[in-house]
Amino acid sequence: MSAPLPIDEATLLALMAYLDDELPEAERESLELRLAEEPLLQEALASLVERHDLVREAFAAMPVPADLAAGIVASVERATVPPPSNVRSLARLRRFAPMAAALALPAAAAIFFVMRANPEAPHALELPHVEPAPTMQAVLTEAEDMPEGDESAPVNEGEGVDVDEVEASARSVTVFTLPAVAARVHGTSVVVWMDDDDDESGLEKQESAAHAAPSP
Amino acid sequence: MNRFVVFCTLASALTWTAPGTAKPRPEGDGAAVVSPVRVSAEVIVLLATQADGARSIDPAIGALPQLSKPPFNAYSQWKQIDRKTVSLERAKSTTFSVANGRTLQLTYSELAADKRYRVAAAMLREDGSALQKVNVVAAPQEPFFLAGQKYQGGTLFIGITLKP
Repeated sequence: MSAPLPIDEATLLALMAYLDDELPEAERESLELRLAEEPLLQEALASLVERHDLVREAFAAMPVPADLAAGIVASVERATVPPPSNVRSLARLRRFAPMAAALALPAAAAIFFVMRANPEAPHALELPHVEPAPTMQAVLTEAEDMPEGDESAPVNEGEGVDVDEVEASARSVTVFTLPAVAARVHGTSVVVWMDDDDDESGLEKQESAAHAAPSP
Repeated sequence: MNRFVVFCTLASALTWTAPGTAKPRPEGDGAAVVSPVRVSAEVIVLLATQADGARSIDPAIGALPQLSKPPFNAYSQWKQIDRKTVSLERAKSTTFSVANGRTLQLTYSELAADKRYRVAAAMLREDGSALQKVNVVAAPQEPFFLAGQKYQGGTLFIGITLKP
């Protein structure tokens, strides 16, 4: 076996391209200048020529199959033929695997958060959150959706506040029952909200809305 | 025979001494709740307004966690207008002047069997006629509120807490 060429790989590739007459003109002229000045490069080139001749002689003795081209084409075609059905199914499944994985994670997360958000036993006195509203009417409208007074029983007997009776000339009366807001606060708090009918603007509204919906 | 006698004797003894065989004494029987003659009540008047800007709570209000719940949390500005402790005498009305010119009238009637106070809270107009009246049974230290009256562009919340 011949000894390795004492030049770097880039120069070796340039020499090989030079032998095949594939170097661009500028690089060829540059390489020829180097060949004229560097004996080592001349020896490397000579060695490449010798190897090149040896390979050519070896293959020259080997006849080229007549169907070489056809054989190459056939092997390419074989590589593109669809696989058998079972292999195809598996491949199809594999194709959807990334999609399934991508969907599974969000689905699992959604299930997790839904289960967390759904309270095990809603506090009997818990009221839905009311967004800050600039008008009293908005507050009263929200209050209509709140739990009935029967659900306002105190947490423990003898604690909290119960409303026995409300008398008012107001158009609407709403009783809010607030749950215990901290562990140290026992029982509940109650807010009895009444429209201020004596307000002038309120009276005007009453007159103009004489045929309005009945109050709760 | 002897065994039979012994068995009967034991059975009889167990019947007389077993718990639950005697009629339970009604709870509170013989120990009626006595309503005190007087009970103190703290009245706090708050003005709630809705304004642009950060939430503001008057430090004088103190700890009132209810402010984070409906309907309180519909308002961003809270100011204490008045705070006073009044003495309620049983079966007699006590009045308290509110900033909007009306009068809060509190009437303590009795101490219920569950140790809660039965109180009537009424808002009177300037002419003395009743605007609204609420009858509640309230545990000590448990506030209840009358709300909805308009004042200076805001809404009044009147909190009443019994403090025996």
